[in-house]
Amino acid sequence: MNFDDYQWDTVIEAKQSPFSVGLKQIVEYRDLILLFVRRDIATTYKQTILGPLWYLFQPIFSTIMFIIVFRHVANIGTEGVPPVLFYSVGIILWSFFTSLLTSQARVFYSNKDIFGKVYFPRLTVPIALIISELIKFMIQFAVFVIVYLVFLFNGYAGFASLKLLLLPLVVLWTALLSTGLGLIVSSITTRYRDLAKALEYFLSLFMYAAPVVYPLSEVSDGFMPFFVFNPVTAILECFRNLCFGTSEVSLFMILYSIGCTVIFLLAGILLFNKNEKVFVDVI
Amino acid sequence: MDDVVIKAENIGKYYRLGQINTGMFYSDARSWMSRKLGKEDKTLKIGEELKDKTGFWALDDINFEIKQGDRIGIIGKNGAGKSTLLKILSRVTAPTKGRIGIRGNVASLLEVGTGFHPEMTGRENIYLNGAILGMKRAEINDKLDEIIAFSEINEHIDTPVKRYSSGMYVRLAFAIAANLESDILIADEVLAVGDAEFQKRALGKMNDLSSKQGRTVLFVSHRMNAVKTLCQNGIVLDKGRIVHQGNIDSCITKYQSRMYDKEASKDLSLYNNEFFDLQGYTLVDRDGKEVTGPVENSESVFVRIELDMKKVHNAFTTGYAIYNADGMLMYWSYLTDDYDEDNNVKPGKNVLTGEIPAHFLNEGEYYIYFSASLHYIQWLVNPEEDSPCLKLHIQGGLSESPFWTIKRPGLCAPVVKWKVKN
Repeated sequence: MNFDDYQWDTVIEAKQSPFSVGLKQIVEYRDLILLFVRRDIATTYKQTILGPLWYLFQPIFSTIMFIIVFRHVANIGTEGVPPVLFYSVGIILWSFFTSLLTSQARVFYSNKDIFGKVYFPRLTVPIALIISELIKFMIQFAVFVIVYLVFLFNGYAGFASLKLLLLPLVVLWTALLSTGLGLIVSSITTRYRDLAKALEYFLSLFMYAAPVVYPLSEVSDGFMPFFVFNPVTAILECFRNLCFGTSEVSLFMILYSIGCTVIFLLAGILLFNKNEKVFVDVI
Repeated sequence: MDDVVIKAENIGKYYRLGQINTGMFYSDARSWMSRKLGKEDKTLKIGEELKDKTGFWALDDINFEIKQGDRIGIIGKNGAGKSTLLKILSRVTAPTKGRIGIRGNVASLLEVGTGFHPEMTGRENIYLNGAILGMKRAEINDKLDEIIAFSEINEHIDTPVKRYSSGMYVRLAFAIAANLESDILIADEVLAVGDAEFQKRALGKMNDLSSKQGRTVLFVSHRMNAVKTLCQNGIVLDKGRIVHQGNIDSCITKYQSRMYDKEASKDLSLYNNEFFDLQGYTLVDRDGKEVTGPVENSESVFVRIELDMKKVHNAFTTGYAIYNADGMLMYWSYLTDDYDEDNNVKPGKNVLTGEIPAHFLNEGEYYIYFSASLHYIQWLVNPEEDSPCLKLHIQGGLSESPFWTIKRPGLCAPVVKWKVKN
């Protein structure tokens, strides 16, 4: 009988469609995704003093620091939003973006042992990373909500409208942009390992180039094109707009950023799929 | 009824030699530029070829069919392509050409304990590892007690695995993989771990899986006796090509004799190194005459090694490893077993003879591989990889008794002293 006369469950071939995500398989391995999430969350803080409290420690102290430096020393405005709320939102969203990006960028390197030995749908790992970072984000965001409510009861004319329901969409948008960029970087880091280090450094610098610690309205017109060009700007501004009703993000910026997200995500998956097949021989 | 579960068609895997790239973007870019411009590549050293053009086929032209319930042993020397083939079958790496069709799900035991997280407990790792290997949560729940029992971890199951001894670690890992529900099981040297007792149990478990539960098993091991007990059929690989397919006994014989043919045709000077030149490696009888034909078991045979020592190291030792026709290692022998300062190699020419005692081995063919090493430091010539080989054929002379003139049952056929008191 010829090869094609059989009913194969699996056919292993030299070339496979680069865009095939294998959604069916990923669904089959959903237990594995959850276990990866558990592994990431449970093991990060084993044998530490504060344990999961570290999740809160970082944004709280960064917020205090930023209030002192940017509000009181540099005297940068916050569009009338209480500084605590203004900075903490920026920090929480920015750290969600960067920590997801850096962990996606390391996805091949930190999983090279399992990737080299066992087959399972590789995309389960990036998906698990998104979920674990989301959980971290939600814990931090819950604290923000508490502080927000405290301000509301103390007379801050808050801005609570149905628009708040759009927040999850912005978070998802952030996650996808960050994953797309992360996967692109991860595919290059299998060849050039220093890129992961460079990425961390540039992200820490990049924080000052995105409206994290200041609103877009404080940016002078000369620099504006640069901020518009940066797809993260729209995300941060949208998020603040939904929380506080401030900010002057334009529809063009939003569409541009969504466009970038789609392109980066597709390119990221394409490169990831391409690399996943050969990286065992490279790394 | 056609029950082919794996069919490989013209599988090939190409590896580039050396580094894939220089590892630095700048050099890669420059190298790429100069190639585009048709200039000499400055990143290459003088006399070096362009790396892209050199490479080798780790596997080439591999075709086979495996039927439901078959137990296939894949044998070949290190570097023959066994592991590459298993990696392709378990989809860890993709072939460069060809295609493989698989029916049913595949579980691979390429290396036990893959994906264990040291900070997590044994129980948590069972779930994680099981899921990596493709089990659903419910399946693991069902198998949990069985896994724990087989691993003998018992009360330590809720301790982080980083506190486990290496034996416990391996036992747990094997227990998870062996209890997997899969139609096809791919196993690479899994039995080379753990203590003898555990190895025996592991082999029994593997046997159980394939013979009683009718699973298809692909098994790679250097231990010919393990392959022999477990598998019915085999594939012999050499330099990335299939040189023989058939029942396991014919495969093992083929493997042994092929290795011998290959080694026998080689020039001894290939094994020269900074410590010695190998000038002779022969079998001789008591009178120093070279042995060619079959030898009676009542005669001692001597392995004669001629070395021209260029450098003497105090950890230096040499000797031989002797395998029977089934590929089972009979024993290793070293010059330094019988340590004596005076009876040792000196700079310059040395002729060493090591006895293979009379009335000790059984009738049959034996393969004797040369070995040399700096003990516990490095191999100079590794008998398990690439080393000169001699063939010894023992026939007759098994005992003084008229009752035993043919091959005896058992690995050895020693003649021992008996005493009778009446």
